[in-house]
Amino acid sequence: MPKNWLIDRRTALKGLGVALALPLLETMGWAETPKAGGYKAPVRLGWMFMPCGVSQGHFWPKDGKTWPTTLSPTLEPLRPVIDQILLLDGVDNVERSPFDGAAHAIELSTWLTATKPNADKRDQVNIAPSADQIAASHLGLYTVLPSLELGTRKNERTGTGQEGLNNRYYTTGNYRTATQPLPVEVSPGEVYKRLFASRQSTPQKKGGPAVDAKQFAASGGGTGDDGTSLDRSMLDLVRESAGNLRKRVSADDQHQLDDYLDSVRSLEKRVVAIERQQAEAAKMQAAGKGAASVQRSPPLEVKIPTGEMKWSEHVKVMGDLLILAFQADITRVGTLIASMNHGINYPELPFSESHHDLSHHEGKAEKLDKIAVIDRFNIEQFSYLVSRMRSLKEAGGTLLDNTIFTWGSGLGDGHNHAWKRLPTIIAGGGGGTIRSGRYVPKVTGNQGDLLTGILARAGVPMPKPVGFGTKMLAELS
Amino acid sequence: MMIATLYLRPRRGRIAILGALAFALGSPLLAVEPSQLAQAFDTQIKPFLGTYCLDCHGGKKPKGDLDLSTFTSGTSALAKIDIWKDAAGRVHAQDMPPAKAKDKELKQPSEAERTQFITWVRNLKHLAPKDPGRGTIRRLSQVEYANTLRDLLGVDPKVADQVPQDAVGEGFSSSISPLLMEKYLLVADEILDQTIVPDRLTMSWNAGQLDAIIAGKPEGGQPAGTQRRITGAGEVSTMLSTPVDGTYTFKIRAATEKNTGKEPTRLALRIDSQVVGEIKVTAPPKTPGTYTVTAKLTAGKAKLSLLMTNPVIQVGVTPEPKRAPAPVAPPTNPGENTEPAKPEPAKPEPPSNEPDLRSVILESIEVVGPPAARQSELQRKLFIATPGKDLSKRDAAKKIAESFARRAYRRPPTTDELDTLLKVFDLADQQDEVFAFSVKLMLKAVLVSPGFLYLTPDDGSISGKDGAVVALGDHQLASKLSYLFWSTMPDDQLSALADAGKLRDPAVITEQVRRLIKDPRSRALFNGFGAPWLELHHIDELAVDEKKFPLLTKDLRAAMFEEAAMLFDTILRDDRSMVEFIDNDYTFMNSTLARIYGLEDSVKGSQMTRVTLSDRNRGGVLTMPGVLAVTSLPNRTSPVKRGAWVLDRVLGQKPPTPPANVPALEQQDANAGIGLNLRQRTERHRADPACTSCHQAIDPIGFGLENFDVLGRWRDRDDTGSPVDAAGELPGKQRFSTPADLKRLISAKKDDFCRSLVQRILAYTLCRSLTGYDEVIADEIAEAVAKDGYKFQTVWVKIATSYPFLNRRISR
Repeated sequence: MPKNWLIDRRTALKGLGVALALPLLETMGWAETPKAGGYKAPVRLGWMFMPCGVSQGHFWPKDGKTWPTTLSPTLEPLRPVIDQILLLDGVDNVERSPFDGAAHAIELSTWLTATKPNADKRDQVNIAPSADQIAASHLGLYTVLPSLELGTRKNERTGTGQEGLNNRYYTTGNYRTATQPLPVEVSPGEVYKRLFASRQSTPQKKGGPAVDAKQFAASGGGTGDDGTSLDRSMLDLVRESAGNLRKRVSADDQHQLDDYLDSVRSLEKRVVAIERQQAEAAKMQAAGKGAASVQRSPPLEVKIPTGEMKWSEHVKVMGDLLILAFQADITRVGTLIASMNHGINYPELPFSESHHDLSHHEGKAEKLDKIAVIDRFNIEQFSYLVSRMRSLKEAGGTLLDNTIFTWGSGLGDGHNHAWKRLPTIIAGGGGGTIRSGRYVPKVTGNQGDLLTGILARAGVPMPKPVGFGTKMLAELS
Repeated sequence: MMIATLYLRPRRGRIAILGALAFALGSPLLAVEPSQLAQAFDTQIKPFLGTYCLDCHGGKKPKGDLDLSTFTSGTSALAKIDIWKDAAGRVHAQDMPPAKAKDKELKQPSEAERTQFITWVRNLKHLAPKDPGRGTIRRLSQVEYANTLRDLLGVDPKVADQVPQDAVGEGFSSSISPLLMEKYLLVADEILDQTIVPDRLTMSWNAGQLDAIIAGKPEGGQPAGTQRRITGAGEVSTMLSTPVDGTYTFKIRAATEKNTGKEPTRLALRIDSQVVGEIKVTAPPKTPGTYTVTAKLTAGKAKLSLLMTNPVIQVGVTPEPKRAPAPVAPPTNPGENTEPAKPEPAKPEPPSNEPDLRSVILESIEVVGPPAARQSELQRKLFIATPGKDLSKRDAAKKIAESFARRAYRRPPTTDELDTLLKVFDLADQQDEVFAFSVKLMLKAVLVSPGFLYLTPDDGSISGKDGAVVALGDHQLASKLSYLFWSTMPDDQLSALADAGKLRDPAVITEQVRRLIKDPRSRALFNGFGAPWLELHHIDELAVDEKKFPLLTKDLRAAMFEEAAMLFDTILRDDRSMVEFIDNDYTFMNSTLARIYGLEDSVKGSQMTRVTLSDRNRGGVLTMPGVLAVTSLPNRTSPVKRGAWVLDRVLGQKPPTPPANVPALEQQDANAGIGLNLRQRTERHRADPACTSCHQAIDPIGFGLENFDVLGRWRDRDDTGSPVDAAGELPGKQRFSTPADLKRLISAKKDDFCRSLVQRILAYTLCRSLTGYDEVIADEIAEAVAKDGYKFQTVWVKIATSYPFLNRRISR
């Protein structure tokens, strides 16, 4: 086993001996019909989370007029990409009562939902679909994966914690439905496998005389003559049967089965998406179109470390995988829960206190300085990822130009668990919908308005705002 | 049972309840009768509220949005029992009523009035109607899923490592996300791809059974068909599934009926559009010959066809193009022993207007694949039926489905479920998959079906009206027991009892519980319940200052975890008193852990062994290195965390969350705390009235454990170099000066411990928070356990035979 896997095109091609999505990158455009004048790249939505708020004094610009010539100490790492940054001050999260004693469960679970947990069912998960999942239910229709949820710590928890809240609220930011907390993936190797090994379609191979495998792949192999894989038909039957079961069980049980049915359907859709991408690739190849028609960078090189990873390495590789998935149009929606509030400290930094303990800084300069170091360290990883996105060319500019990548925390200040003035940084142009390179000292909307605005700019139909929002945040453009 | 202390287990809110641990209650029996409780609301509680509460918590704008005037009876209070528990906690802590409100002194209730109020709230649960609680079907946790695959299929449970890790218990989220579903399918694929190999392919058809095109017209094959005559252009064909890559041998039995030309009749064998071999048929009709073609084929599905390559006996006339055989693509990769088809050389033949056609009689085609790979043991076990003369493929598949689904669903499959599985089989079979692969798809369907992924009722569904209470069926009960004690599917004995309908007898359950516990697989109880209870389940992720504590290696973390696991197993399997969790004179360690205990001279080797402790400061969970480590901060001990842990985990009194803006202690306290050690600074902090009510109960216990450092090593001096002062006093003037004393005092509160542990176990078992009636059940069980010498197995037996365990309420 080599020390590092290098996911480049060559490795991916021979990797795992299964159908691979990566080579398609060069041959296919995006799944929509090409418009006159070439392909229009889709808008991608990314989020990156840090808990416990920030040292506000170190974070916000002292003087809006000199921005961005002068940057605050915490935001200094963003200088190389500052023209692509939109810094928003004054975004407040939803207030917390009756969960004041569980601020850290609320900060993560409300960050993308802008909704408080259902107080009457607090020992279960019962909140609202998160903004990324609302987006995924629309943007995910075109891609192999509706969304990706990545992290650095596993997030399955059982039991109840402060204020009697289900422990999943402490570790989960993404909710597919009100009752369906999504797990995050933390292993780079597993994510890699998931992105590029489309075993799911269990191709119904075409038999026949032994032929060159390449020729087989080029023939659009992978599905039967009618374009339907056996797995998909099998899942269809299983789902139908589970639907019959659903009719006969109690209301509570129906709820359980709804999640199941929904997940099976999602898996079927994924198989369909793979089949369609393969078919499109084959068609394009046959038509002689290729990379030449769209100017695109080769796939991002991602080094997957094995064994122990430094925290920063872990964040970077998970972020790289998300970017690669965006680039290859495997998904258009992704979240990176880079850090969590419980028991995290940063061995790479010169002090060992936990992030959470320091965030209760009591206004003491020494602790605030340390918090600022932690904040800046997190911003460094974000800045790295923004630069990576900018380095990738695609139709209409760079990947970053077509992305809305938000960095933030669920608290403004950790000491008093303030839910006001959430640190909010948006990178990228959102396909021309975001006016970046600005600092807005006082926005006119809350976290729900922000999420609503972001989703609407990505083309997600928004019949109603996200959570406690009432409108689209105007200051995005 | 003597109720020596106030017991309240707040699950919500900032409830200050601690205060005096020994808080004598008035005659508790007086008020547990529902009628008396209901009556007491009018005679005692209403006047209490009126005098002390409603001024603020009533009227148009009640304080804190709490309007106590809306409660008109005990039943209405029961519906919002958490509010009342919160209120009782505050009344007990003398937090409410406050001394002053709206600038006037408030009248304070007497000690007797407070006691009366608290006692009533404590007994409120007895108003709860008998109710097993809502029970829903739940999915298997990752651990259960992995173990079930191991026991069902004999595979390494590591195959499930890629499935997101989780564990059952109170608050378990049963939801199946798309990621999870995807992993289930992936795991099923991985297992089945490795285990199911097809038989050696041998198939034969009479030519009459094959589809044909004769004289330009398609003719379907007949099941009873025998031979076919092909005159001129024409072909016979069939779909062929090749299970594996390799060399296939085709034996064709045929004779030439008419051939006046010099050239022998030639037949080409095609796979899809490629000719893979050609034979020259020379035998006369009376004695047909057998001709062999071999070809290398890939696994998959293709059309096999046989057609004449030289149908026209050349007569010097160019045959009409329409009648010519379809042009045959030259083989790109011809198999061995074959010659590529060559164009027919033009030869002079007698002239005629009609082309003279060759004619063959085709008898049969037989195909034999490459030798089969050796069948895995698993496949032999799963494939209990093989199709043959007396058994159709579908019937064989049905037998396999019935047997596998019975085990995988842990109950007999329903008709609908079986139908679905057979439809899946048909799906593959109708696409001419080989039998083994059609069965494989069917088995895969089992592994992604709700019957397998969830614990479902016996008939696959629940029937009954909304609110009806139904008893669990035998099979569901077998699963519930087996997953509780072993985290895996029922074994043969449990299954047989369920099949025989004998499992619901309490005597049988008791016997089974003891048997399940005795088995080493009951280690699952520590992993599932014990470790989270002691908060050791994430010890491998515990963040500490690595420079300060380089000893906390992976090995040490593992040994700390194992020490607690072995104590748990010992008390459980040997059916010892639960009190040994708090205090005993033995533990388990290896050389790594022995360094923490200072016993490295006597304990050697990496194997964990039982050690008798002479130091009475050691022994029991309070002073276990793992517990002491997880209740520390990364760089120092935390008496508050340790004290709160003991109250919560051992005595069942969960301290409320401190308000966010109360300054926490910090070692480098530059100003106020200068020159003070940790204890002195903590005591200063406790002087704040907002903190007193909780910290006077928490802190003494924590300081009683200050002789142990972050890793649990004994020390006489703390980080500042001051001598450790571990003396203290628990409420009720119970003094202690060493950890040994403290343990003795805590273990005397064995009824509190017993009741809280029973509640925890019951919530774990039921996978939900406890409701009013559950608490009544928990009290009854705790009482029975106390009478039985606090024997640990008794807890599990009583729970497994309890009303909420054996029944569920339906909600529609």
